[in-house]
Amino acid sequence: MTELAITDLHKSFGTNAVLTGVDLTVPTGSLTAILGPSGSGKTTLLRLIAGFERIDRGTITLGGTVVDAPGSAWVASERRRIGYVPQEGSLFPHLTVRKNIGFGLPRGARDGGRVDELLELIGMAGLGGRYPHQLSGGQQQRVALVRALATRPDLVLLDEPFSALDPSLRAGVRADVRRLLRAAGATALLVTHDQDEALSLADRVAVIRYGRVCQCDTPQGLYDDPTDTEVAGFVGEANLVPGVLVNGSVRTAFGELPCHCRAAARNGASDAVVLIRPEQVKLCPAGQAGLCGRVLEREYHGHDSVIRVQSEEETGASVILARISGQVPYAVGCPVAVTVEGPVVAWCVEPDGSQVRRAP
Amino acid sequence: MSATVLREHESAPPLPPNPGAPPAPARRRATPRLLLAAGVLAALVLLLPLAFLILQAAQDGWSALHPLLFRSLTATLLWNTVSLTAVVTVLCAVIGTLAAWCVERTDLPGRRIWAVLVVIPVGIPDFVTSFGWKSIFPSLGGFWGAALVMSLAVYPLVYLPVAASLRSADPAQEEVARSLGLGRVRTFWRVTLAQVKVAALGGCVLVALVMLAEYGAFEILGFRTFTTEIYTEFLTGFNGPAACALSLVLVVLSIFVLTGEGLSRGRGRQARTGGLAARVPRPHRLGRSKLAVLAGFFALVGLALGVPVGAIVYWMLHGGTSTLPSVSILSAAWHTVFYAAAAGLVATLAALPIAILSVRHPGRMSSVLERSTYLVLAVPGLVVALALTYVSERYAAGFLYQSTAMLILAYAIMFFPLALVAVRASVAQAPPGLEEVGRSLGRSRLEVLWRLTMPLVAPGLAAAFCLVFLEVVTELTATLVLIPTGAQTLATQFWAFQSNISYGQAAPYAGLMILIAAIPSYVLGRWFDRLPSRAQASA
Repeated sequence: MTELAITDLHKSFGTNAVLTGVDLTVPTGSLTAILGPSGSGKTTLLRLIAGFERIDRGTITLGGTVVDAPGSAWVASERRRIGYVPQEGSLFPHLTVRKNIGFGLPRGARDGGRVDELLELIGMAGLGGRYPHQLSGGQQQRVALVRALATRPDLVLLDEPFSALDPSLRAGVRADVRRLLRAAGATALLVTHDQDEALSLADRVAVIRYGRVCQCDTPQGLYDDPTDTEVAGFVGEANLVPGVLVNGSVRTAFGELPCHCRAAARNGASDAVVLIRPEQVKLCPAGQAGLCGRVLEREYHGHDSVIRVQSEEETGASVILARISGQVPYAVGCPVAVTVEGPVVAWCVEPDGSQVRRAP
Repeated sequence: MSATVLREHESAPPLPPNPGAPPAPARRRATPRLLLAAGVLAALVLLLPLAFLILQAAQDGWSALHPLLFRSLTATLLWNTVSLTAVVTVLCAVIGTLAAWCVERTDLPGRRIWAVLVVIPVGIPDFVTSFGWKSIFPSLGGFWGAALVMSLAVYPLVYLPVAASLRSADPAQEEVARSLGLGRVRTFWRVTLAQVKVAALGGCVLVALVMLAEYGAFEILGFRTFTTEIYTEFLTGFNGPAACALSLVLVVLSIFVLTGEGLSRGRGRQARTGGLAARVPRPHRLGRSKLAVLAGFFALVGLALGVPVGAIVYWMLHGGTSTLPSVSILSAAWHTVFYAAAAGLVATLAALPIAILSVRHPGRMSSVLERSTYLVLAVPGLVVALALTYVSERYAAGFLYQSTAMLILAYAIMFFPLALVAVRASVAQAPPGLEEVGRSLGRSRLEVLWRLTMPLVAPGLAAAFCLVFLEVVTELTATLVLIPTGAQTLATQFWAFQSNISYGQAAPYAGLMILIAAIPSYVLGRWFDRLPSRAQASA
């Protein structure tokens, strides 16, 4: 079932066209993330769904009802049955935590069990009498979330809810938010520019760019099979090297690699761009089979290390990124042999050399 | 002294970014026409006195103005006014800044008590302070007498903003300076003074504006300035053109002061990362100079507070008789409170459209509107009163002249900038993002207005009302010109008695005036402490 459906949505502010033909569907019960660089129109999209702004063209359908279609339908924000969690939480500063949470409830229910239950849910049972400025950033964000959930909305909209938090708090609050959304069985749409957050939190991720949704997929699908090189670079680190497509595999400086996905070659050979994720790169002591390189830099992250290898042969990419778990036996300057494992993604290069698209 | 609070707020730590406010310019909404019309109307009424002055000067023509402006009297007045203003401003800057530093940053004994005592003189009208001095030392007067009394009456205008900026300034800057090898004295000069410079300059501008506008104190001390001369020309000489010409010079001086401040503010900002300074700085040890500093504070409070309050109490106890018809003090108090409340209401309501425009619909139009209203600061109350009188005489056949409505209008014009500062701050307390959240929670526009916007905005509106109320209660000059026949306020009745040297009769009026003014001052203090920036700092 579909909770939210957006078709051909356009929105401009003055001469500035922010969204130009967005199509998006959000299945009931899912958590969908909208991922895009800043200025890509993510927040605008959320505000249009919430009903804080009107669209110029297209339709927005919530739970089967058209809520915004220029000229034919408009449903005011307060009748859309949505919950909205803004970036800074925006708790009402003159109300206590209890009253904030109860704000959307009918008069009789504002002091009732629903509020207690929600306070319990976020582990703040004793803090209902506090004012927003007496809470930490993480607590404020949790309260903002349950305030939105209190009325059991059909759809919850979250606008970069973690960006105002300390990085150290973020992971904890993020996990809590997912738990709360799951517990409430809510459908949620989350806006973020943090690819880590999108991939780790969401069931589905819609990448928005140049005013459109350019890919909407599961996190895994997005990472393993991005629609173009730009998306590939946006959702994780990427080595992009040239290759030639031959019969379902691709020939690169690292040898012939199996081509993941639908990258079947057309008739004859075709030039291609190949995506190699850093964790597909393996390093061996120099002298073994593989491309010759030299360790340029190493970044230790605890759970793994990222190594930059200066290639000493012609690969098309002079620096190769490798992610290695566990001990790294190679010092900076150490010669190594580089190999690549597993299927890779490749895109054909158009004859004019500039355009890149996914292999057919 | 109105302006105190105005500046104190300005130098207070910046408010945190509006939660949930849309990242403005891209999604600016269309400005509602009605709001714009109301804003333009308010601005036009405010600029009426200034426009009238210019119009009048243009009508009289240069040939008429020339002999009025270029006479030895103008030169004398110019010298008197400018030199006294300069001396008092410098004295206030020194006293105010040093006192603020000692109270906020040193281990002066009894800092909390001094912090209160040093500020109280701001609540006593200048003409009451000079009355206190003159009634005890009848020979006091002239340039240095005026300089002494006015400095003691208005130095809190510098003290308050400087103390506020010292409280919010980052003490780590001083520590960094010390670690870079600067001694205590050089640190004070190069770091501490730089931190408070903007606040101190703001205070000095207020002092200068007050000096240019003051009438009552100079009249009592027998010192001639532009204001006393304009008053004389107008009320005793009935010489309209001369009063207008002198007013023009006075307004030009005031505009000069205001723009000077704007220029000095232009460069440099106090940048501080990581929110508010949470740490309380370690106070400087006064050491051997402690006794001298303490003696200084005793002297300051004794002279600035003890003399006027002592004089009032003394004359109240000793009483005296008067040949003037006695007016019931209750009736005068009633008029005072009524005018003040009405003016507070009018000014607050008039400030609303411009405040909403500038906060919610920022743009060139609203910023021009907002700034134009601050021009009123450069028009002394006496000039506002004269201009309104002339407008009524020349263009409305005396309509409304010396009517209650016109007096209230004059007050509302004079104190509009104060109301605007408070109303603006209060409108900013309710960012549109909060209303959006409220509506997304399923509540109607009306309910959101009632449950969210009103509670957030109301305290600030009350503060604006109190500010204007407080100012009107202690206003003398414009009231003397415009008060309806037969009515008396506490200030005008006090003035009548003291002019007649009936000090015993005058004193109770001064005392009651100060008492009434103390209530809104208290409310205001509470409000400024509760602004979220302060609340968060103390949380």
